[in-house]
Amino acid sequence: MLRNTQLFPSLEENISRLKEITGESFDLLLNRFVCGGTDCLLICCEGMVSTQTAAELIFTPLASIPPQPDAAALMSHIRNCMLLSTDRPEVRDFDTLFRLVYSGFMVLLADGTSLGLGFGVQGYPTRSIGEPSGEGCLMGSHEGFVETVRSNMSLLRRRLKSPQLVMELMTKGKKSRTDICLCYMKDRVPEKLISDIKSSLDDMKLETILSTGYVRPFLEKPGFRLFNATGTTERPDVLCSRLIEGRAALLIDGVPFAVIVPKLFCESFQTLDDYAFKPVYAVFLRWIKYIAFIIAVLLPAFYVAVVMYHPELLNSTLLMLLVEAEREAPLSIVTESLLVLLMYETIREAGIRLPKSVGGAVSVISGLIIGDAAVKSGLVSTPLLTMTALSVLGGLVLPELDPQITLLRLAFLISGAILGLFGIGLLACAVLINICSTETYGFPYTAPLSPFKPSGMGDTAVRIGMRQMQSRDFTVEEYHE
Amino acid sequence: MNRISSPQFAALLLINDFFALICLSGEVSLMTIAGFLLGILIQAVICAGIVRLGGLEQKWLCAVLCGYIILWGGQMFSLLWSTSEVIYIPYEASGTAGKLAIGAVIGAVSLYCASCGIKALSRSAVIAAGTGVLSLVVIIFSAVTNARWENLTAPESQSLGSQIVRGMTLSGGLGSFAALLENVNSPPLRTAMRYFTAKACLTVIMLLPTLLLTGGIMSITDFPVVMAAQLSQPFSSQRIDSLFLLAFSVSGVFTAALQTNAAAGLLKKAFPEFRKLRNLAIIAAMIVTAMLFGSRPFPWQLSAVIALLPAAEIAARNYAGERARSKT
Repeated sequence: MLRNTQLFPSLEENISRLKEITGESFDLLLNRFVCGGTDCLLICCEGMVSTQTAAELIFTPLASIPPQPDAAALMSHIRNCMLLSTDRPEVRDFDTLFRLVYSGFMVLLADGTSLGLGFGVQGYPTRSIGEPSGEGCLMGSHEGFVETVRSNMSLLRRRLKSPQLVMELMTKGKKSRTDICLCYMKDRVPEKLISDIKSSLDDMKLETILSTGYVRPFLEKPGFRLFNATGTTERPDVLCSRLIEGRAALLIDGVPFAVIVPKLFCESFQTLDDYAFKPVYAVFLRWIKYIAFIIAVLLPAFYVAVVMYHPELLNSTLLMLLVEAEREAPLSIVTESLLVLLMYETIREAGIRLPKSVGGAVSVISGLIIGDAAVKSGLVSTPLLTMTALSVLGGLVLPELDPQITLLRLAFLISGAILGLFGIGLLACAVLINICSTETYGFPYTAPLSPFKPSGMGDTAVRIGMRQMQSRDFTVEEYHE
Repeated sequence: MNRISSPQFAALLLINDFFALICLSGEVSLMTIAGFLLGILIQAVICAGIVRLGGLEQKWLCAVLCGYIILWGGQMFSLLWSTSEVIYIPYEASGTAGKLAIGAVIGAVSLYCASCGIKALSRSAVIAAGTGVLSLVVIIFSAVTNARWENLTAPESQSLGSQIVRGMTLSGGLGSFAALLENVNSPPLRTAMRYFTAKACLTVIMLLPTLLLTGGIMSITDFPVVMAAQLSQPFSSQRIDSLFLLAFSVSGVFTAALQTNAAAGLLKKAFPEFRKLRNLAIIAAMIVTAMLFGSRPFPWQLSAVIALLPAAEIAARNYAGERARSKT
């Protein structure tokens, strides 16, 4: 609507139209003044511009402009003879005007011309670059993405100084007008992937984009999928490694995470530290993570299934130990397991939502005091609590997969409780099919395991040395089906 | 395009064969292994004919093949019920209702698996085949230590001919082979030969340890492969045979899902107007077939259908070719 509304040559008309559109919003500052003998208007949004920069770079030079014959000549003089800022877009319609003003630009209008000039003097408050909270790394960079898209772009550019790194800025969200930056390595990424992503983004008719979760469904294949075919990272170094592998990424203004397309299941088990240590230790760490995933998902279910239906799997000592422990417990083993798991999830949720100072204390009090009291009172058996704690601990190794692990753990527990190992087997089939049906733009989520790509196993089953890795010249296109 | 690779195709069919061999009843001897291998050779020759003809185009042929797959799927459910009597499944013991409930649960999971499409099914088949290989490794590992080599016998009571037919009755997956071959993105003949070679290897790998482990008590064993799994305990104080149950349930689901997907594809070709609930109709038909026929085998019917299919196809094409020539 606003896109088609051109600026008027008359300054009065522009002012009245601006007031009409914004409802005379308090934060829109309209400064009328005379410049070069012409009535001008300098528009900005309060709190979005740096007043010091504006005073130095805009106000002082504008005040010293000699008289010009008309508005067009004034604009031409400013545009061609003065370098007021590095970012100087032309403004011809109200849509562009509002987008720029609300992005921290100052826009200059003059009476007698329908052309405006924008000056980038952004100065809104931003969070300084800090360590990523969710992706810990021992030996890598300690810089993480922040909420400002342009800062994130610079973090990326500092690490990839190649001209092949392309960053396309676009605006999405009918109301929020959020800046989204599509990043990719021109020489590595499949062209079709980029065109498909752009087409998906064009299909997006959202009003606002407030987190990565708003965009990701549009980049994934529709249908019920447990796992995400797109990934996120808050580490610029991780994103660089993905871009080098021929993936595309989206940086969203206001979100300290980048969305990576496509994402593979095996990448959830890879961290930057894997490449900092010796390959032998990295392989050990990686297999610890694979085992942790299996323990996190299956341990409580196996425990319940074995104790309830398949005690022959246990040796006599272990069996007697479990029988003794469970005999003391007043609740059935299924109820006990569900209770403990749900209790853990509640405590975790409370720990996350509460203020950090209180959240930590809640976790300690809940975990130690309630857990200890539950065991001492005999409400929960010690072996079951141990199994649940091990399972939960396994899930914490892979924070990225935590939502899926939580759901699968409960689902497997219920299926194991109803049908024993047979039930676990059936659910495993359904989950396996679900994972294998996950793909985005023709990139299967389970690659390189299935479809099996032997070349990909060097960084999946093991972690080969850097000398071998540098000669691989891998791009994700190898996995495309 | 729902194109699948040759290894994925082979994995899908081998899981089907793995399941059929788990459910194998009756005595196993060297003659059985030889008969099964010869049966595979015959099937390979027949399938080479199917491969040479290319895709299935005639509607009636698709309908017949669909019916055949439903029959095999029904027999598979029947085998599952009978085998589950010796593999502990909770609630299975509670009579017909329990069996139906188990059938319904497997049917529901298979329905979901089939509805995800052949690509997802074939991708997951490769991983599932990996778990099957792991369980086989456990059996073989144990067979090496517990093997009784004197069990390698070929009793006179078993003729080679009867064992060939017995092997062919377990080869219902050939219907799916014919139906899905056109989806494979490799040369069909090479794909077929790779599959039959792998099938022959699987047969030897499964039956030889079975014979070595259960040979002494073969006459009183209903399901020799299951018994071999129960006897194969690689650890001194830890039983692992219940884990074989996982391989059994996974292969059962994949077998049902494969048959459903293949039959639904044929049903679509034979009756294009039948658009909705094809997978559900196929699964329901399989369970009804299993209930109707029970565990009675259909050796001759199945073999006859297998043998007749390429012959009928050749006849149909010749007939169509002659009509076209007479018109011109």
